[in-house]
Amino acid sequence: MTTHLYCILPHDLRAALPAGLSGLAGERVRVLHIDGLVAWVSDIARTIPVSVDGVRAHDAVVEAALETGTTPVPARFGQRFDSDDACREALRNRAASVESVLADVQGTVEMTLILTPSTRRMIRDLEPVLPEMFDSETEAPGRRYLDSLRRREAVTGAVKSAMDELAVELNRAAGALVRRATVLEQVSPLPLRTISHLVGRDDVNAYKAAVTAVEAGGDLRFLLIGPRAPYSFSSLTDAGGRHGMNLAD
Amino acid sequence: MVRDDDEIDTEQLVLGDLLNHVLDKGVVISGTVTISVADIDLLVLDLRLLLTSIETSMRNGIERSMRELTEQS
Repeated sequence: MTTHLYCILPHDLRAALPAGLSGLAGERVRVLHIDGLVAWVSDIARTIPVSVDGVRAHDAVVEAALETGTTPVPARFGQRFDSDDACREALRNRAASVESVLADVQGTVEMTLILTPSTRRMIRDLEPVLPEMFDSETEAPGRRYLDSLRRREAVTGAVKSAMDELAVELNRAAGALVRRATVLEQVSPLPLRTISHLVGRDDVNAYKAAVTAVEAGGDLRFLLIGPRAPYSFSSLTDAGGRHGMNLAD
Repeated sequence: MVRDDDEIDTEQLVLGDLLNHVLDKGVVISGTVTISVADIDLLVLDLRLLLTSIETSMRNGIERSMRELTEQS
């Protein structure tokens, strides 16, 4: 068996591990002490089963840590070490950086906004273009097909402009409560923008009230997810756009 | 916020966001979502369903519109 890392907490805040908490494959979650840090881990087979259920199990342990009142630094899914000692060594080697990230996120949670056009808008906007795009005779490199691509790009550009305006509105409404922010623009047929905000625990209700008061025009919509552990603000490399602490790569 | 008719997609958006946050390996290329862990590409069907459902909706929308046009003419 090997050791799977879920999250890291500061030792001095002594977040209590809930009794009977289980993680991946139903294994009991236990605590590793490493100097000024505490890691929540469990045993795991050498091959980590990657699945939606596995991801949910990992996140559930991280959320349990968040609910203790202490903010954990979440590890990414798949942080597996050959033994507890190997996990301790990895954490000792990065202790200063880990402690710095922990200090940054204490007292905070992550709130996530997902901006996307409504399905209805996508159908309406793209409908005139799609017959050409799905017509096999026009899929060969030809002017009509390229024109259809350009028209689709124009539609997508209009959606992105509308999302820019919505993002400004959301920032205007809740910006005063936001300590840090990251934006992830996904490249997909469905325009998606994920905005992650680091918000004080005491400000969560005010934040929710502020953003839910914003009216999304232009057939756009936004989802509000959170509070959750600060996945978007836990990178050791500070590379930006990365989620969760990564020690095992 | 989110309307009722978007609820199905909402569930998939939330799942996609969870996977993106916890795995941090999500890459969307040409409408296919792959998630790589330890350099192994894994297809996440739930996310593909999101894209498929959008595409299907759009196709259905076209077919419905064309049927309506045919009936009108």
